[in-house]
Amino acid sequence: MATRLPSALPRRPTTALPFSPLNTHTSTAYLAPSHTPLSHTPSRAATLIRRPRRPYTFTQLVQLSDGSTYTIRTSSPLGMYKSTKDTRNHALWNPNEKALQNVEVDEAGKLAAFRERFGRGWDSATESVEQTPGATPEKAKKGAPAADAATPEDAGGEDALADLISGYAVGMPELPSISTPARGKKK
Amino acid sequence: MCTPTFRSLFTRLSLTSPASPISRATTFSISSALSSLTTTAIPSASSSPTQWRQSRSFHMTTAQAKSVVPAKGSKKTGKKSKKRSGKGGEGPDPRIVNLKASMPRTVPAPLRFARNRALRHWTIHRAWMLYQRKERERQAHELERMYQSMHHACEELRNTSGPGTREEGYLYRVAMEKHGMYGHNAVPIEYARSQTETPARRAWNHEWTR
Amino acid sequence: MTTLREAPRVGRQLLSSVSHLRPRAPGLDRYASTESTPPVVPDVELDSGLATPIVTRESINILDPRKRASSRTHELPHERYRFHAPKYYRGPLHPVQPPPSSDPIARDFAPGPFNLPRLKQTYQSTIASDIMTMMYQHTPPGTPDKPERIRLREWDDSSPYMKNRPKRGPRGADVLFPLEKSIDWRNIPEIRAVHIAMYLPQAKKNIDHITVGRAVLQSIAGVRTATTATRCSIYGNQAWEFIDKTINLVFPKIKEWRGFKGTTGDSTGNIGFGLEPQDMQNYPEVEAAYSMYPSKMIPGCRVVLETTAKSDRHARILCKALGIPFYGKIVD
Repeated sequence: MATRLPSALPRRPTTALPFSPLNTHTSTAYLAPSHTPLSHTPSRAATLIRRPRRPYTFTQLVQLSDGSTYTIRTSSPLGMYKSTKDTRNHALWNPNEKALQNVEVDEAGKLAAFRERFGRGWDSATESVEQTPGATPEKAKKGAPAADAATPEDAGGEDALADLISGYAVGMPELPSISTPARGKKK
Repeated sequence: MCTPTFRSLFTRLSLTSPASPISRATTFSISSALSSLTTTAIPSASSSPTQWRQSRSFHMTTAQAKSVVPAKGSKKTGKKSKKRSGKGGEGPDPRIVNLKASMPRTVPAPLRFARNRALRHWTIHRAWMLYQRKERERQAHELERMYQSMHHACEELRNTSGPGTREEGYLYRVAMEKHGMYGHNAVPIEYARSQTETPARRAWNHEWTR
Repeated sequence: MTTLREAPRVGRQLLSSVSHLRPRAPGLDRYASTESTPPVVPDVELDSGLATPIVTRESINILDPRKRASSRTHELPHERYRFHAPKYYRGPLHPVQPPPSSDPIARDFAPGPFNLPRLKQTYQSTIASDIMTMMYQHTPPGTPDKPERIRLREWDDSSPYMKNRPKRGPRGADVLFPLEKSIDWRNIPEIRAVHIAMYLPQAKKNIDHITVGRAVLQSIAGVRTATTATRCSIYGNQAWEFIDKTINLVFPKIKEWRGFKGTTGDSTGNIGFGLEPQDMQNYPEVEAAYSMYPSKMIPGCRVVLETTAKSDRHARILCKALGIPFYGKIVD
C-alpha cells in the first residue's frame, strides 16, 4: 500500500478531508497487473488453469507380422491391429534375412503371366542395364537414330525400351534364351 | 473380468521388476476416473449410421440456415455458394462435419470425489509415486554399479601384462580401441528388436549369421 | 511349524517394494551389523488361493448408510463447504493456491498412466546400459581434467574502455551451444519429447484443412491440439508409444524408405524428419478410420525427436538403438 502524497491526489472541491478512508480505498483498489517479469509486485495477472482436453484412448493389441503381440494405448477403437508389413519382415531391418531379399509381390500371378506370354527378355535387359552402366552408352548410341528422330530427350522408360531393342538386335549370341520377345514386339 | 488385461499391462515382462499390487490398484481407480472424465467420441470405423445422421443433421441446420440467406438475393450468389460448397451444393462435407463434432470444445467438469474415495486415491497415488521413485533410484544405482565395474575392469586390464609376452596394458589398449562409434554401423540394425508380450511364431532364428 | 507356514508371507514382505508401508511382524528386523544368511524366498507361492475362506454377502457387515445418517447427532458440513480448485493461478504469493495436478479435484488432473510402453521398457532394461557400455571411455584415476575450451572471446586491452567488459560471444554466432559430455551413467541420451507440426498453407483458402489436420494429429498423437494450431508436443509414455509405432509400423510401409537423412539435427541433440501426406495413412489410427477423413486433405507432418543428448551424434546413437537407420553423409 503505497501512500500517496497529498499533492498527487486529485483535487476535489467537494471533499473537505483529503485523507478520508473512502478516498484512500478507491485510490488503491485497482492495481494494474504487471506483466514485466522483473517486477516484484505481488499483483499478478491470473493464469487460467485449463482442463486438459484429450481424446478417448483404448488399449489395443498389436500383432506384428511374425506373430508377436504387444498392447498399446491408442485412439483407434479397434481392439486388435494386425500388421502386414513392419520391421520384422522388412529387408531394411533384417539385412541378413535371405527370404526377404528381392521380394517380388506376385499375388495375382500377373508377372508370371507376363513372362509366360512375353518371355524374360525384359527382365534380363533391365538387369544388364543396371549392372553394366559402362556398356549402356554404346547401346544407346546405336539405338539413337530411331529415337532421336521423334524426340531428342526421352524418358527413362523409353530409353530402356530402346536399349532392349538394340540389345536384342546386337546381343543375340549373348542372350540366346530370348526367342519369345520377337513375338511380343509384333503384337 | 478385466483383471488379467490390466495386470498384463504392468506385468508384461517380468524381467526387470515385479509389478506391485499397488500399481494394479492405481490402474483400477484411475480407469474408473477416466470413464467419467472423457466424453469425447472418436470417429470410428464402426460408428452406427444413426449417430452419423444425427451429427450430420445437427450441423446441417446451421449450414443451411447460412446458405439460405444468400440464395434469396440472386441466382448468381446461389451458384457461387454451390461451387464453394463442393459436392452438389449440399452444404459442407459430411466427413468434415463429423470430424468437427468429434472434437468438441467443451470440456468435462473437474472430478469431485467424496471423502473416502479421495482418501483412497490419495493413498494409491502416494504409493504409486513412491514405487516410481524407488524404481528410478534402483535403475540409477544399477547403471552406476555397471559403470563402476567397467571402470574397475579397465583398471585391472591396464595394470596387467597381457597374454604371453605382451607388455603391460596391451589388453587395455585393445579394449579402448573404438572405431566408427559415430558412423553408420555403430549399432547394427538388428539390435532394435523391442520386447513384446508374446513371442513370435519363430521365436529364434537359429540360421542367423552376421 | 508356524514359521514354516509363514515363510512365503515373510518373503513377500521382504520383496515387495512398499514393505515399509505395511506393519512389519515384530522380530523380523535384525539389528546386528554382521552379514546374515539371506532369507530363503520361494519362487512359487505355496499357499493356494483356494484355501482362503469364501466371502458371502451375509458375512460382510455393512452399516446401512441411511441408518448411520439418522443416528448421527451432529450435522455434517454442507455441500457448499466443499473445496473447489480455483480456476486461476494467481501467483505463488496468493493465499488460494491450486492443488497439484495429481489431485483428482485439480483442474489440470489427467488420469494415468495406463500401461508401460514396451519401447520404454526395452530402453530401461537393455538400451540404456548398452549405450553406456558402448560409449565407455576409460580415464585412469589421477588423470588431470582437460581444461574447458574457452568459447567466449577476451577483449584485448588496447583501450582503457575494455576493462571489465563482459567477454564476447563466439565469432560468427551469438549463441553458445551446449557442451557435449561423455556418456556416463547419469547422462545417457533419452527421448524427452516429440514435437509434431503440420504446415497447411492451403488453409488460407479452405479452413477445413485445419480441421482435418487437427483430427489426424489427435488420432496419431493422442493429444488434442489448440483450436487453430496444427502442432503438438507429446511427452513421456505418449512419446515412447508414438516413436514405437512410427518406427515399427509406419516406416516399413513407406515405399523406398531408406532412413533419416544423415544431415538431420540441430546440433543440440534434436533429430527431425518428415512424413509425406501419403505416408500418414500408414498410422494404424488413421488407417482404422480412413474413410472418415477427406483423403485429399490429409496433410503430411514434420516431427522432431527431442532427446536429452547434447549433441547430434549422441542423439543419433539413441535413434539407431531404437531402430532408425540413417543414410547419406553424416554431418554433426
